[in-house]
Amino acid sequence: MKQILLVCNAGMSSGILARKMEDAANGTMTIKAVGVSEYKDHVENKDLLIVGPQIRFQLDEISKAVPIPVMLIDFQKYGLMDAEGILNDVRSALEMN
Amino acid sequence: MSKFSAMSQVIERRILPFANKMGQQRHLAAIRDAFITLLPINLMGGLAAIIKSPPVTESTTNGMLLAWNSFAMANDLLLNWLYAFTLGAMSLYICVGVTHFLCRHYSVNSFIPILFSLVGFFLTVTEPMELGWDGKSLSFSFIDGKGILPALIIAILTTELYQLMKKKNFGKISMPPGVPPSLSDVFASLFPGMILITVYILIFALFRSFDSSFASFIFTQMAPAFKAADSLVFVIFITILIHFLWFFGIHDASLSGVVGPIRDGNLSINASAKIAGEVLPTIFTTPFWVYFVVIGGCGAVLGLAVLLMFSKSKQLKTMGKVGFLPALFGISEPLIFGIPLMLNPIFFIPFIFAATVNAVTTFLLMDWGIIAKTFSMVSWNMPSFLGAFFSTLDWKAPILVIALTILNTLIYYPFLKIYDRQLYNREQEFNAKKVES
Repeated sequence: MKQILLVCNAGMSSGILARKMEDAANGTMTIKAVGVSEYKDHVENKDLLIVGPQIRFQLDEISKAVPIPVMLIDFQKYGLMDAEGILNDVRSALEMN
Repeated sequence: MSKFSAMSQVIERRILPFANKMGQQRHLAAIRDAFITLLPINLMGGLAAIIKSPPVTESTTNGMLLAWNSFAMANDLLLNWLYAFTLGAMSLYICVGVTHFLCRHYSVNSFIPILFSLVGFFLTVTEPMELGWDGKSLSFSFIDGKGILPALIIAILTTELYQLMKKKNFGKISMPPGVPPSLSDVFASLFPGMILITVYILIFALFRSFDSSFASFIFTQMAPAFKAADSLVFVIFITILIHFLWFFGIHDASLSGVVGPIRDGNLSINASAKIAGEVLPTIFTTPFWVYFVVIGGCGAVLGLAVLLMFSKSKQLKTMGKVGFLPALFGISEPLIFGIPLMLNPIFFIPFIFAATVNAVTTFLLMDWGIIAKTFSMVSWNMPSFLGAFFSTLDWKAPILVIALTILNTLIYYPFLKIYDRQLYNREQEFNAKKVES
């Protein structure tokens, strides 16, 4: 099972998305949403870190700070809470690495 | 349209690094994180302030309100005491929080620096009244929002000096190899601690020699700046700036290291005044912002979310269904990224002006005393009309919020109409092509 860490500003709106994504993944992934101030404490054992578009300006810093691959969530999919679409992006990102 | 997107690309390229710098600047980031973690403490203080202030006048006859009033009077001391060490001691906790988060930035264990910060805080922000053998008393009137700046200064000074001394191995006493590491940690902080505490007591002595104190000096010196930050011009400036950033899809957290202390500090100052039965001095507080200005989240999109459900375009209709509930709880990211409002030239004007209209209207009504000022904060994602009531205990406040929501809806309406027609036509063309092929 793959473990995904979802980072946004305070883990609020991404919390909604994380639940939807877990439902859509049907138990093949766990998705944990956290705020940007604490993501470093949660990286352990995660396979991929995905970043909410509202903090995309911190993407570089986050990429440098963690040892796992980092992906930016497409902003329109984020807005539409398109869990399926984001899961597809996540899967291809996981395959690439 | 293409001109617009070219221009916005240029602006975006300039804004992103700026937001990045603001968001990463270690002191601002630590301040932001410290304010976020204060939530449960502020909430309890806010509740104490609400319970202590039943909306009762001499002509009140409602039994429940009168019962509330007598409860509040009977438990006056209890509520005051609860308030004094929750929301009323905000600076104390901010001092601890900033020290902790700044230490984390340097990957330094924060326990010892927090102890030093506390020593510094008590030595410079509280004042001794009497230090006798059988009775000690101190004045701690600056540990609420009035002492935020000295608290920040102590926290940053302590952490910066501490980590610098640690990095340079200053005053490190080499222990024989048999000594347990935890013990040698304590010895390593011996000299840094002595130096820091000497600095604090010198600060105290310096201000004492002028019959003043560090905290009261900063507060009176900075009074004009605080006053300026509580003006209509500043509120308009901040509202436009935050929405400008959001228009580029950038979370305003990049600014909250600066705006947070002002808003939360003002809230604490108002709450202290309310608890003491004084006139509330400030308008630009955190509840002012979250309940009255950004109704439905940044962009003031609650009315827009309702409008969306009646749009012709399928995409927008779906967006209304997805975005309405989050917006009701003050979360507008789904709408900002989904419609999208972000970088969408059609929505540039209403996106920035809806919230600005709310800010101006509310500021003026509070300034004129028509709507009561805010003094408590329950939770930022409580629906605006409820939050507006509990933060002011003024029944006119939720009415204002409803009126503003309608106003915001009207502001968005013509722009949404244009966008809806565009999307609808595109959807029709798309469907027609599908049928043909």
